[in-house]
Amino acid sequence: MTRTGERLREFAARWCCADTMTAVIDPLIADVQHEHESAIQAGQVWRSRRLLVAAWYVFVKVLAICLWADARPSRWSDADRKAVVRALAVTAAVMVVVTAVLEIPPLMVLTKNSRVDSSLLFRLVLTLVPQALTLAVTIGATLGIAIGVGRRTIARRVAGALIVVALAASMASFVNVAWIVPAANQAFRVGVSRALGLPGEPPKGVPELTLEEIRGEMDRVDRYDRSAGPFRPWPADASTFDGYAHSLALSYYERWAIAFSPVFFSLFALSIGGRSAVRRWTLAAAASAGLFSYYMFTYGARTLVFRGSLPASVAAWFPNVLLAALAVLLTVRRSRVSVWHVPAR
Amino acid sequence: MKARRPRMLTLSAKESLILELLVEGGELYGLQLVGASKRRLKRGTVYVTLGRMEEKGYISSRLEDAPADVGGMPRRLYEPTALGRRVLAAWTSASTHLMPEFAR
Repeated sequence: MTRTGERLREFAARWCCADTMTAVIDPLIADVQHEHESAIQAGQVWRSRRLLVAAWYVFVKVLAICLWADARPSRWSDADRKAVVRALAVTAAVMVVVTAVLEIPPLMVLTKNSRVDSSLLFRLVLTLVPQALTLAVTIGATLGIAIGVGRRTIARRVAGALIVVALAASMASFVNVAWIVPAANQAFRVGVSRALGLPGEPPKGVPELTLEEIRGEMDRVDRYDRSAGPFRPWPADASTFDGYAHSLALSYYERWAIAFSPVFFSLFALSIGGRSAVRRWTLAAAASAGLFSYYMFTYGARTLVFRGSLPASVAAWFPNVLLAALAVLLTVRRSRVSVWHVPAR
Repeated sequence: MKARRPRMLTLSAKESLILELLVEGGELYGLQLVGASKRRLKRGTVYVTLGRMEEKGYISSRLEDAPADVGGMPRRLYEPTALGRRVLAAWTSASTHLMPEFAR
């Protein structure tokens, strides 16, 4: 039978460095053990149970304070700081390159049109940047971590900091896909339409709807009664009602899933990094393979949704869930080999 | 090579309370400090504060001998160092001088 606090101590030992264990965790657990045992020996059963509940609460508070203190950059080693700076620098560089590459195909099409002058061309290219950033953030975060951290053993505080940055990037990406990309897409369509001399403003398609507008359309589709007559107003870019319904649902759930994909890819990149026997560029290749597979899964899942074989929410989130499961599996396997460790202060 | 500037000695309200209790009460455990403080110290933060004070050199600690009757891990006893006593004395003197209406 384990003594009070032993499991807590084992859990804390996985996350806290030796100094924190000695100075903070062990004294706390020792005092709690003594108090609890004294209460039991005095026959105060309910008091001993209250003390256990209080001890759990206090332990969680203390652990959170210690992890926060350990996570601060002022506590990091020079090697930790270099790894994070390198990861962020590679992320930024990859984002710029990916954004530029994604702009090339529409740029080539636009430059062939004599009605598009250079200032309009520049404005149109700018409107395509938000859409390119949607992919660039995910690719940048993945390769940035895989190349930036490389083969060195990853301290938990470095991993934690990178995941926090990935979470912040995901929040920004969510704002981008929910509101900025639809507005930019519509601005692009209006710009091209005016350059071609077409009358009026082109109607919005599904990619040009904001998240709230898509939700509103999905509710309208859900409320539609086929026996009541045709679906009115008929959407501008829809060919069939079922196709429109699937397209709306996919667009809605995919925006959420893609916005938060940097977090899942960061977990994946951290799980393949920190292996001293593997070269940095091999890690980059593995990360790239992960990215390629993710997007192949996404496109494959879309086909199943349009066939009615798979719900849109499952299709959108399945690649993220699979990536998270793979990251957990790789991390658990590695922790059994004791490669991932917390360096002592 | 640049000469290192001496570290500024700081003393928070919680740290001064802990030092006062240790100076009055001698060697104490963490939970004894919480009890003696009449709820001014919390169970959660006292250990973090004690760890920080030990890093600053204001207190020292030792493990007690493993208790025979109760069992469990040996508890840690804390006592003020000479530096801690001097810092407390300076802090008390400065408080009394600057804000006599708040001095205890």
